[in-house]
Amino acid sequence: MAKKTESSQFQKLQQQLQKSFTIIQQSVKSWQEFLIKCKPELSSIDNLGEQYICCKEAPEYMIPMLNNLPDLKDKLLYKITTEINMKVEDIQLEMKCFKNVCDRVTKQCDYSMDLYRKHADTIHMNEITERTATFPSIVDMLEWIQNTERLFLQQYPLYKLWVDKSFTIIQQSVKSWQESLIKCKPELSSIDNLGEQYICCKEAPEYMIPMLNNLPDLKDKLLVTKQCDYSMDLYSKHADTIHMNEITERTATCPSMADMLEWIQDTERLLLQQYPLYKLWIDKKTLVSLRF
Amino acid sequence: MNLTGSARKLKDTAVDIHNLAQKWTKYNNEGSSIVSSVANVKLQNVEKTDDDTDQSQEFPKEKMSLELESLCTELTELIQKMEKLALKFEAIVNMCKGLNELESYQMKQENKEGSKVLFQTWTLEDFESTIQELYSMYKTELQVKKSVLQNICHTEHKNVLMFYVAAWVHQPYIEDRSKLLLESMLIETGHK
Repeated sequence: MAKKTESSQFQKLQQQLQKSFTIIQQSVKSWQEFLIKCKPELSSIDNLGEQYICCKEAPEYMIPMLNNLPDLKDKLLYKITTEINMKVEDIQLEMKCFKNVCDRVTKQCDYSMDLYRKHADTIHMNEITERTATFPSIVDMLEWIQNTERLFLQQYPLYKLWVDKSFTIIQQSVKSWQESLIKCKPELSSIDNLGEQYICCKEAPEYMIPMLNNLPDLKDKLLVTKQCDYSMDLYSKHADTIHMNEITERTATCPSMADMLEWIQDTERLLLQQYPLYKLWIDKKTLVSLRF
Repeated sequence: MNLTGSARKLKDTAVDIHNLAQKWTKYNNEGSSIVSSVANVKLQNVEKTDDDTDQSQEFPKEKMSLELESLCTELTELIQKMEKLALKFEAIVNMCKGLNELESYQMKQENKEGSKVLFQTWTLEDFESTIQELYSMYKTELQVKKSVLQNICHTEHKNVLMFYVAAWVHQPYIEDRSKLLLESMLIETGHK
């Protein structure tokens, strides 16, 4: 240790790493704050989504006021959709804070790596790989810092895509997809699977909210992959018999089947990318937090 | 500047309409919580009848009808207040019509055509059409509220209950345009 303290480059590197980790710690904090801030918005989106589905599914013959006010249902659905969009916009604004966090982490990673590269030739390999009881090795710390950066950089676009696509609409669309499939092709025998798909997909977006705590559930959510495969198989099986117009046609209340297939594929891709990331995050997080 | 005649009347009217809209929003919020409570009571009952045995059903049903009755009385009183607001609104619309007719009569007497700009850009006709449009939104909305009151207690279907609650809370007939109209009227009359 006495030898090491003599090496000023080594010390500089150590100081830089300490500084970076402190900043990363703050960044993680603001990221968590961002998630907490979004929670009420997300739950109101969820609530509005439920209202939308209930209103859409309410049997019209049981609502006598629709006789006098035939446009009530459409107007109501429009109002709810407008409100959902407003909430999604709020979250999109909050995403800016997430972007700042990402930038800060990237900057710190760059500083540390640059400093390391600058002195890589002069610092002895033993020095940078040696661990003590109270200090992890420089190599370890550099690896952690790079992993953290990578995680943030991968998370940000994913979140952005997720918010842009608005998960509530995914929820609704899977349901409408189920309906339109029943309407279009009554002979399809795998309709039972669709019910399962709906439940799986419906539950999938919710895990985005409580984040890290829900890791054990993540694996179950990957069932979506299977469901996505079912849907794509079903589509390719009947692709020749269903007319293109049917697949691409949108109505005011129901998105097109092509849209929905794209969404379910996006959902699957997101989940598949998220799972290993989260797992890595949790594994590393315990380690990193020990060193802070 | 001391305003007189139609301009004075319209400036005061703009404030009246603004106050009416605010009171309406207040009543609507009060009503939202009542309607949600009604829906909760009904939903609880639907769940209970699914779970409970036949013997224990009598008491909750009685309790439910008492609760519902008091909630409905509150809601009826609230709707009566809203109806009064709508009546005031109607009086304002009639007054505007009167002013417009008076102006066109005066113009005829003076052998002039078109109508005068009272404040910055709007004529009396513009005011009349704006107020009329706002009134028709509130009038239809009142109809929705009355229908909700009439029907909400007589359904057991969850989605239909949610439909009524949403129809009350979101006010589908009071369009976003109403805010624009009201704001433009306040700006036009120099209140903002």
